[in-house]
Amino acid sequence: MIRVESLTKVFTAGVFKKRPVNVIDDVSFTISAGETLGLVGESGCGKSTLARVVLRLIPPSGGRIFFKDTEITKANPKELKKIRTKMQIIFQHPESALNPRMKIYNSLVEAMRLQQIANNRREEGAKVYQLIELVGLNEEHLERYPHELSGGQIQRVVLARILSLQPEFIVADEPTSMLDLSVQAQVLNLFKEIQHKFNIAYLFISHDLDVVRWMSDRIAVMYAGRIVEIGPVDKVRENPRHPYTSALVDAFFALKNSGIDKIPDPKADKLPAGCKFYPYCLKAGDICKKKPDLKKVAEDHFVACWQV
Amino acid sequence: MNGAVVRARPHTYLLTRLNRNKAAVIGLGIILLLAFVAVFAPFLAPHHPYEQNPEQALLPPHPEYPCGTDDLGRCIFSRIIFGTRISLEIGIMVTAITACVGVVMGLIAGYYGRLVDEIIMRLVDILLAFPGLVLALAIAGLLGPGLFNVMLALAVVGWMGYARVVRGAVLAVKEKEFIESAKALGATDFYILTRHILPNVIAPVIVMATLGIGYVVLAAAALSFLGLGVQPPTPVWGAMLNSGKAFMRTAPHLTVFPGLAIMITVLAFNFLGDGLRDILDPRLNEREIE
Repeated sequence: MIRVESLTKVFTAGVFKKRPVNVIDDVSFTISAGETLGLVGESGCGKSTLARVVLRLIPPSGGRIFFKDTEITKANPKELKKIRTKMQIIFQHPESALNPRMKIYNSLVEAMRLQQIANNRREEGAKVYQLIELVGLNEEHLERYPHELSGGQIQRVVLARILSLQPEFIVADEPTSMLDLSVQAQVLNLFKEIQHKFNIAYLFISHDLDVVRWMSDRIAVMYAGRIVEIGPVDKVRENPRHPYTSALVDAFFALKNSGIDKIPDPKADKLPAGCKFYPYCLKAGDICKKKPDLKKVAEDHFVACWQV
Repeated sequence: MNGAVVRARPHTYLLTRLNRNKAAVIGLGIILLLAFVAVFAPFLAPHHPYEQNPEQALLPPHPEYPCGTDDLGRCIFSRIIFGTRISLEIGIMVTAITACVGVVMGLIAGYYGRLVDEIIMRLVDILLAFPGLVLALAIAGLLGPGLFNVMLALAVVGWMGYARVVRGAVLAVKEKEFIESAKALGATDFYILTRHILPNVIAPVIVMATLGIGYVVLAAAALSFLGLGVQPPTPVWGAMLNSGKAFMRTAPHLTVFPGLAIMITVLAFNFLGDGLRDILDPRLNEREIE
């Protein structure tokens, strides 16, 4: 349903000497209806930028994005507005996810009003009550302001508001990373429940491998703007093929040591042109100075590494 | 935070907070009184403000003329009362215009950024490089005396502060996730600016505007003192000071009472503005709510 082809995003950095920084570098993937693609990677690897570019909240520098055979990258504002009902996003920080000066009810109906979904105020109200029930809130919350709700409740409000548009694809940019564990579990369960009910596709971004494993069908590992490994969640987790994925999995579960003690920040402007992981990789050889493409290592499992 | 936090309703909340600040309450009280005086001036003034009475010129205050009479025998008290009208009119009108222009400029500069931002903010810098009152003097001098020209001159030099403050606040708010959400929901720039950004940047503008009214009243008085304001015989505080200055030694009441009127008005707006700043300061506010 979602198809991303060689997506790139280049920002310019530097005040005096402008230099380009490839934040997203030749990223391709697909997500089918009702599926969850988990996206993991360390801070600053381009996960959140990717989330925004996929929805065209930030214009891409190159590549193409298709939503059900419509090319989003070429859509005009009118088409884009229509597509936006179908593709939505949930952000990381509950404290800034809603306008602090709007009551919850107004935040909820805003989506419907912008997209002219309800025909009149009564229908609108009825829908709101239906939605808050769906996400486990109650009537009393509607008259409150965002600062009077907890982080978990706000993420529920955000989800309810998105659901009013009946989306088919939701990008979740670390939606639970700011919540405490018990609330996190509740909200994740809600996400899954909603997914099954409405057959929604997720692009689920997180740096928490446990969360991603629990949520996702497939998982994509991102390093310095590139997808280094993509495949079914268990295969990637149990049998990581890319050295970076191994290091990440090992670091997370701390069961064995991959031999790579530290993975330095991928400062995109200082990384080599070929395989970006080359300076830190134990298996690296001369060929790694060239850019590796994703190649198939097993059914549905792709790795961008010269050494596999 | 959980569901049981204190329910704060912004409007009643504002009044209770205001009530705790004595200076602000006094300021508000004086402003309301001034507004009352301005509206009912013809009923409150004991004499007609233009009524000349040469035999009774330069009388010191006594029961018939509470503030004495000027060199033409006009009742100073009545003239001050009528002067309230013009002072408040100029203060409020000019502040409203400058605040509106400044807010719109600041919103546009902060939201669109880049070249638009650069153009607007450099214009602000250029205008701010001149001392405000001197520039107003020059403009008023160029346009010639008159109520409208004074207001125009003061409006031209007054909007930059608002633009700067609003631009800064917009820069902070526009990066918030609810703005991106609104974009993802298909909102237009205009909708985002008016519904999401404006309500979140308006608090400091209210404070500035309240303080600004006081400043404009003072600046208008200064201009009319220099003869560039509203022309005689219209009763204006600044012009009354000017015509009284010749008699400062022999009949100080000619200048003392209009001066007091200016001082009290400016002080009242400053008190209220300071109080509002304390209340609307987002940091203080949040600490109180947590």
